[in-house]
Amino acid sequence: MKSDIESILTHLYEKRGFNFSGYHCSILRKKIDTRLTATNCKNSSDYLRYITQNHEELDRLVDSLTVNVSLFFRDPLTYEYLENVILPVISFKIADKDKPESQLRIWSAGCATGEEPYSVGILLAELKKREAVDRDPIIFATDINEKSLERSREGIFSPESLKNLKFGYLQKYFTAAGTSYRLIKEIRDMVFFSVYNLLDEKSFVPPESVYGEFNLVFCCNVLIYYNRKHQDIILQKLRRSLCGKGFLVLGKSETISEGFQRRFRRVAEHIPIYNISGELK
Amino acid sequence: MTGFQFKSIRNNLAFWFITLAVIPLSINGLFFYTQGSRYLKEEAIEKLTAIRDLKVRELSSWLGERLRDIKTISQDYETRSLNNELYKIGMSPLDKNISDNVRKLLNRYLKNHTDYSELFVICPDTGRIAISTDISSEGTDKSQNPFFIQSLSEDQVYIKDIYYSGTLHTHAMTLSIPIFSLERQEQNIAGILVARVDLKHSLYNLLLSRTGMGETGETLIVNQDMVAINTLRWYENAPLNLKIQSEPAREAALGNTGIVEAPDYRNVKVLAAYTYIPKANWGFVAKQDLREIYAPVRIILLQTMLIFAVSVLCVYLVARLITQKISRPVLEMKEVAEKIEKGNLSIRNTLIRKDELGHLAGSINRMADTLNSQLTVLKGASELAETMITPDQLGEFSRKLLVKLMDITESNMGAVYMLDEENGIFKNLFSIGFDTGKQESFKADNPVGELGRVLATQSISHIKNTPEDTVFRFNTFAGTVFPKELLSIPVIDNGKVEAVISLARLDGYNREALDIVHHIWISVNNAFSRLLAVEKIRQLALELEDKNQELVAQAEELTLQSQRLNDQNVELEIQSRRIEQADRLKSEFLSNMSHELRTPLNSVIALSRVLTEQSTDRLIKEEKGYLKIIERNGKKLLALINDILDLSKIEAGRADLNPEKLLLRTLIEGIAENLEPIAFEKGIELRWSVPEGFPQIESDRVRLYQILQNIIGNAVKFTDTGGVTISASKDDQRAYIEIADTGIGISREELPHIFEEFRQVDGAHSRRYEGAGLGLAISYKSARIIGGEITVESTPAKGSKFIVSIPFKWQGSEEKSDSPDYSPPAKPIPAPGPAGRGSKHAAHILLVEDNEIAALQVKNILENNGYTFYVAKNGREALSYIAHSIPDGIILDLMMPGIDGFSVLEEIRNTKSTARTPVLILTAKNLTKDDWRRLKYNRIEQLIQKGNIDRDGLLEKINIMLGIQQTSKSVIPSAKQEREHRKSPSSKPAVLIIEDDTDNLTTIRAVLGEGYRVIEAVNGEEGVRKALSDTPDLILLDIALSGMDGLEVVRRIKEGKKTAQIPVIALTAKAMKGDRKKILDAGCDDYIAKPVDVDELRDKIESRLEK
Repeated sequence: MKSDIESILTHLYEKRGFNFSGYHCSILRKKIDTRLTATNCKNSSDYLRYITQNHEELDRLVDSLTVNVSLFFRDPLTYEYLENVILPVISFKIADKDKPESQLRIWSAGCATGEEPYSVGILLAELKKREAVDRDPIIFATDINEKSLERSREGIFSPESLKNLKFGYLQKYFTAAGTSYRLIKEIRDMVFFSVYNLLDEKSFVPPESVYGEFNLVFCCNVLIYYNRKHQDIILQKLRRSLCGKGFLVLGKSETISEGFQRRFRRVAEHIPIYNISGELK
Repeated sequence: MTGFQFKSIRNNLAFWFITLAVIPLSINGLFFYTQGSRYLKEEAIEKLTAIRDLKVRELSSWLGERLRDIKTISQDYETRSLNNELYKIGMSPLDKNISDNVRKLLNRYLKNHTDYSELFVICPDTGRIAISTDISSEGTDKSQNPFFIQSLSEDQVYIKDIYYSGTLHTHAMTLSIPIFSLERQEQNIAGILVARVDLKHSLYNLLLSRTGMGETGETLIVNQDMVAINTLRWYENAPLNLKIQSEPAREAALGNTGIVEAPDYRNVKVLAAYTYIPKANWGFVAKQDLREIYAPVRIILLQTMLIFAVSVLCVYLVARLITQKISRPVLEMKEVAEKIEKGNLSIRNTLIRKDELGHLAGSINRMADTLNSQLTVLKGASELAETMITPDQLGEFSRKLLVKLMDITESNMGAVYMLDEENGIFKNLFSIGFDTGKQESFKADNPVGELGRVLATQSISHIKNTPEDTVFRFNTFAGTVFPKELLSIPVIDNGKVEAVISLARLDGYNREALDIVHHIWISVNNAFSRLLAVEKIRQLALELEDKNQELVAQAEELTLQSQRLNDQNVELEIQSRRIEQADRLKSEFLSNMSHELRTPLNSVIALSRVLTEQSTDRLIKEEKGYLKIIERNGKKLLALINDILDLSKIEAGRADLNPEKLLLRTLIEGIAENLEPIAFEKGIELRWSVPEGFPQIESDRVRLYQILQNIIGNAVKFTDTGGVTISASKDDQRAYIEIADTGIGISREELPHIFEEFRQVDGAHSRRYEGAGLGLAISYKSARIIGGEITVESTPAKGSKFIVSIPFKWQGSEEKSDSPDYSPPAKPIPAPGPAGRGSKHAAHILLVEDNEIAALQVKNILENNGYTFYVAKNGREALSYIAHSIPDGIILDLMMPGIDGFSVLEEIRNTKSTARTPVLILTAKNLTKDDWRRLKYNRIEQLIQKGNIDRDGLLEKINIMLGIQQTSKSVIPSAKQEREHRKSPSSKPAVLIIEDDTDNLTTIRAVLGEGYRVIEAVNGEEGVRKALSDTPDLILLDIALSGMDGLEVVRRIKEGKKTAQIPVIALTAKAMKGDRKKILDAGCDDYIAKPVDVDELRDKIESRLEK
């Protein structure tokens, strides 16, 4: 079974350039099992044969391995903290006294269908209405899955993904589109989507962003898919992508592996937001 | 005694006893000591004074005797008989006689007084000894001796103080006196009598007698120089050698008298009495060591201390005896108490006394008794508690509890009754020691006998003197015995007696047993409650388990169902895949079909047109008519094909949409003006009015034009009398265009279907009114995709009213198109002059970047660091820019639509003005070997991979690029001049046609006619080759070439140094979504959709060549 999965992965890498060998075994197995059922294959070697003949299935497998769902304001506590503590600090040039840059650079790594970067976009739009911020936010959102990005750009969301959204925001930032809701252009225009593989060895930040120096990086519920070794590769990349006083936001259930605990310190109890010093300023 | 406490009574008492004894003893001792020493001192002073005075008296008397002696001798007759003659040599016998007599006299004295060592007479004239007791010294010259000189001048005795005599080699003292001669009356000194005192046998002897002066006492004499003149006890050879500095000696020498305590010449403390002897000018001291004087006091002190020590010892012993007597019982009690504390509860005090200690011992014993009893209770209780902890079943619990209770209370019988609520009885659950059959259950609601009281009071009942009829009877081998006492314990849970435990004992229960029962009662209740609860939980758990099993079964069912659903989903997926495929095939088919259909049609139409134009003379009128028909029908067929294609594109969602700001007035005017000739011909009126200042609409021009054109066209078409009125109105969101006609109208039945395909109101009309009936269907669908709507009202024979509503704000699905055409910057930034070179802040940078967001970021860095810059959004823009400006440095992206970075770079290098401008490549491209070669060949300054550099790094590289840049500037040749220069000498413009369909090629050549020099190429390769070799003025390029396709051809052409500037017009039948963009991106300057409209083609060629 295991060798079959390996062969499937090898095939996938050769044909589509995606390397999923860093994924947790159990996740791989689960996802492939789903495809087995969908394609009426009896076992994984059967499936391996199937994908060598059927290239469309290869894309579907990639999709099922890369498509992940998300919600607006997925972890409400984290977003509360961002809104009330982190964003008000980093939205001003004074946050980096040594190098006051006029851009507030944010990266949502593994943005799925865009709920995460758009959530931050909404918070920033709100902040801008309240206070005279002197930094222009620029949000990069990347995902490995091109289709997810296309959906992100459309900005149409099902009510399911909006369940954590405050009603006021729904009114203010969405228009009804059939049974779904469309995010208004003002917020959509804040986010720039591009395809990016977090395990890419050629670059340490998405080329779209040219250089890293992010003030805030989200990498929520991405690490959970990878084994420890690959988690470390990603964490290393995230570390390099942050500016000196940058913050990293992880998913609620994700932790920093031991080797990185001195480079990422929690800024507050119970909230998965980290930076180098563990202090806000 | 605060701050310190004795650890034992014994020490405490002993301390006070000793303290009391020591204080008077100490005072006594001290008193005796001081008194004694004072007395001794006084005594010593008295004694020393007496000795001093005695000695002085002795000395004075001795000295007086000596003076008397010498005076007596000098006044002796014999002596005074001496005369001067006497000393002459050869004296007369008489004289000799006298001298002998004197000698005899002197010898007599010497003999009688041991005090003298020598007596002699000195001749006053010669100063020599004339007569001496020591004959050997006679004749010795003493004229220089003071005793001689002094005595000559005075008639008193002269005492020469003790001195060291050189002649005698010892200490000596002389007394001298003149002898006055009898012979003459006048004072005539006959000689000087000198007596030398033998100190050893006189004075020293006197002083050495130290009677009454103890071991250390002594007397000493000092002369006026405080030099000792007698021998001393502690200093050998003292006379005339030792100068004594001590206080008594000094005082004595000064002539004082007194007694003093002071250190002597040895520096030992002494008591000294001193005085002065005036006759001899001596100081006299009698002294004794204080140590010796006080020796008796020390003895007294020693004795006192001895007595003290003995007394203390005695007192201590007595104290110890007494304290022990008092403290022993206390200590004993303490030990007992300690042992009790450690758990030995059986130990007791044995002390029997009548005093308080005796009472205390009794109390402790009683306390121990109580403790012992309570401990027994507690132990029993805890043992019971232990039995209550472990079991979790009621039956087991009851049994263990009962056994233990009986054990602890020493009962003979016991039973547990449990409430059986269903039957309303207390059921005997368990019993020990009962007469079989007697331990029956009893009713809960009407209890009788011993247990009744328990249930009624809900408290422990203790019955003494049990009645004979009790159920409790005890069978022994000796017969039945009735218990004397009964003990019944109710078990209460939630205020209700749940069980009763009964115990019976043949003799009575002791207190401890009762205490234990009372003590554990609550615990028993709690344990029972717990067990009852456990019992209930167990019941619930069983129920839950049942339910859970049911649920599991249901879940299985659900899983099964979901699997079925899943299978269905898979089926659906397969179907949808098929549909997708079919859809794609359909689109491909349509695309191909349109191409295939239109290509030949294109030739038909174009050639018939050309024929019509060119062969006016050669053809007869009828034949011309045929040609017109061919052309018209061709066009009709083409329109139909286009409509079908358009419709299918809209349906497939592949329509090209490019929203832009539109003026409605202009649009309507354009359409109306086109239709006006037709209306005029038909004799109907065509009116239009759009209010002044009607806002702009953001929409797709082509679609909106198509919709309005169609509806207005229809209105004109179907109106024979009256007219068509076009008007516009608006609300907040939308513009409304109303097209009202007075035409044939639409029937109520037809009205719902007019937007369906291939529907014309009246089948008969279709012949009369041209058109396949696709127009409204397309309009309707077009309106939908740009967010608009078409409504219609109509009355047959009276006319129709169409209302097209369009939102002001774009709501279609496509994003706004960015203008593909390069428009030169409103304010061209002048190229910086040489003065600005090298200075960072004056440096001007050209940023070539199609990615808006990447450009934004680089701009941000440049801005923040004081650079000026111009952003070119694509290659063409960049090239246009460098045609008139020279930046200090260029940041270039490689992957751009249209002219890519490589081409831009090549062009930059080929342009003289920028040949040496530093170029920094900023790209996300994965570079191939080939790419590298091209970059290297074109001398790039730096290469930076996007996403693999930080901000500072990027800035640094930009700085480096500008810093090391070489200054090389030349005049900028204008692009136009360049082109002029290149222009072929031929007056006719050369047009290269690249087209693989020979029919088409012929058609286009025919359309172009004689005005152009036509170069033909039948495939891509040939096209590129000919473009390079012939450098035509314009290229017409078919995109759908076999082999190297048109897009590739244009790329190559635009890459070529010579050919990059040649305008390329693409000819394409492909009209699917995105094609247009692709064509322009590839580098084409313009495009014409096939079928080629002859006029359009001519227009475009001409306008391009004019540029």
